[in-house]
Amino acid sequence: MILVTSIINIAFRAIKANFMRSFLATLGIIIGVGAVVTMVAIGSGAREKISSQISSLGSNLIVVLPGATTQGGIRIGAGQQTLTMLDAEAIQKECTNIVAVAPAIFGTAQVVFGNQNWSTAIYGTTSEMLVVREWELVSGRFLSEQDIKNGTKVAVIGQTVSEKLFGELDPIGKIIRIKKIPFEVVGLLDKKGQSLTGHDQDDIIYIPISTAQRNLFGHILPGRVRVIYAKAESLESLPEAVEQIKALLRQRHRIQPGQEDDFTVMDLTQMLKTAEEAAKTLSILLGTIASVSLVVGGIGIMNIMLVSVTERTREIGIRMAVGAKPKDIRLQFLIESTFLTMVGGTLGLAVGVLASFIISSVMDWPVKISIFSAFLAFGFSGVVGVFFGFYPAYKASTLNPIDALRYE
Amino acid sequence: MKLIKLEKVVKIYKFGENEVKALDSITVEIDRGEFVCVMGPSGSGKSTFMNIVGCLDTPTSGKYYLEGIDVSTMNAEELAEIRNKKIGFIFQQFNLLPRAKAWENVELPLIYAGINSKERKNKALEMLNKVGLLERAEYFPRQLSGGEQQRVAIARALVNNPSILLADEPTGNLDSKSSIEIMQIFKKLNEEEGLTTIVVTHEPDIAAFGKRQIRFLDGKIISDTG
Ligand SMILES: Nc1ncnc2c1ncn2[C@@H]1O[C@H](COP(=O)(O)OP(=O)(O)OP(=O)(O)O)[C@@H](O)[C@H]1O
Ligand SMILES: [Mg+2]
Repeated sequence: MILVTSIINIAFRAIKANFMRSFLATLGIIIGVGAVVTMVAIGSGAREKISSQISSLGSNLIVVLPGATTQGGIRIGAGQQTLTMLDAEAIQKECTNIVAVAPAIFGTAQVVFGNQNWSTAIYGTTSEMLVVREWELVSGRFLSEQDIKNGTKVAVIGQTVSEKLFGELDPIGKIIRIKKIPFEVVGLLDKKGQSLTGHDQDDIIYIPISTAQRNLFGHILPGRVRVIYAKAESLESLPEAVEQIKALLRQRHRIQPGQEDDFTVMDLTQMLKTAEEAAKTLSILLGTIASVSLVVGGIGIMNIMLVSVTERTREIGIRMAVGAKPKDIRLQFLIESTFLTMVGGTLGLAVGVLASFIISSVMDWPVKISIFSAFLAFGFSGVVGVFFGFYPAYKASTLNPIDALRYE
Repeated sequence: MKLIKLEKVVKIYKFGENEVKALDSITVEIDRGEFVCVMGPSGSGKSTFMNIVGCLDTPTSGKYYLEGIDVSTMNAEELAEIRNKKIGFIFQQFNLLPRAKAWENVELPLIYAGINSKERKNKALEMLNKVGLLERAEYFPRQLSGGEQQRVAIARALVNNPSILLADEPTGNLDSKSSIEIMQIFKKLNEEEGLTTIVVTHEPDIAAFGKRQIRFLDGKIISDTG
């Protein structure tokens, strides 16, 4: 039995002797593995982002908007004020799968504190909003039932608003002016980050819905709301909850069978789940495309190995003349190509990780390097080495020793 | 039982339409301890004969028994093993690995015999000492003269204790002084260790080193002093 370590030694020396060529052959694998790792990281990053969206939105969230939605997704009559506070109360009371409901009216307004001013989204809502959106407070308190009933001028602000108006100051207890009307800041929300559409969810102020209607958004009829957020009990009960709300609102709005809804019920969690699936498909697709470059890299290795076999025909002849068996020669070239691809795989992994970080910081795209994809790329490059190394190795092993020795 | 026994060995080379009968029914026996010189004009079949005796090639027809074993029908793996264990081959072009040091060239057969690296190096150095090149062990072939390179090749041929030493025009690329040196090594090995040796040569004074002369012409043996 020939010692495998000796053969490994022979293969290494051959690689060292042709370092530049070996490196160039490896480049294809480096690029291939790098591409796979990067592409999968981009795809997984997108998925991760969507998943975090789902939780930042508030899980099991249903959004009810006024106006119908056509098949094509276009809302008609969005300006109609078909939803009311009473609709919200009815949903809370009658839909068994709904655990919390928060109606809201909203608009944009200028907010001033001292000499700082900032234009932001003002939401008039109820105390339930915090639960529905699964939002935490950093300090202070949220709107109370008392605030809603009495229409007090209090505000709970998001992180972005706090930064813009107060900088390092503690906003709690400070008086801000919204459309010149003074409000006391009673609470500061935790950071939520960007929404799926890229808008800043922390650029927001919550005030009591009654105050908003009376003092800020007078054009909205009293008792009318622009959106109702509802939280379903569980992911499984979401579809049923949606149906319950639809049935209830049709009944309350006296919509005849066959007539269109004058409202739209959106199951955002479900939509995000769909988007998550799409992102998963995307990452598989990207990975597959990148794999093609890995195969091309493998062919590059094969090419170099074939050249190497031809160039070293005489060496093969000498080895055979002193007793190397065909399988010894085969092993030598297989080890050589596998080693090249493994080194390529390792370097490619490093390149992929680096590229992922660059993309994530320069293009502001979330990337997630999965250990699995790393191992896959690495293992695959080993397989590529054996696969594309086999033919040249086989070719070398079938050489006739005399012809090989005569080769010039 | 003779060491080497060829029975009606024929070797035909084909290329396209043409056929060359490089060996035409050779029957010959060589015993242990013989020192044979093979002569004959260019193209008479000397190298073809050596390649078959050295198990680098197989006959088209006929039988070749080495130590009583029929090797004419062996496959590539089996022939490799025979070459490794029983044959030491020396070529006109030396055929050393250019990127391996002298001792690394010498240890080559031992790698394929599965010997561990420490023992390999010891044996390689021992063989280099035998051919008087111990102090050149770390040299690369290009740093050695032709005669020295051929001595490294002899050390390589001897390292795995072969039954036969085969040399196809070992002095063909050497000056007369180096040629004599090489032949004296063969002579010494044959006389002191009884190593069976077959040497192909064109030159009568080189052939005179042998105890037996075989002459080839057109693929046939035309004279044999043995
Ligand atoms: N691989 C081959 N293919 C075709 N013909 C060959 C091959 N090898 C040898 N021959 C032919 O076989 C014949 C014998 O060749 P061989 O090499 O045995 O001669 P030789 O006696 O060694 O000659 P030299 O003294 O020139 O070395 C020659 O006619 C040669 O052309
Ligand atoms: Mg010849």
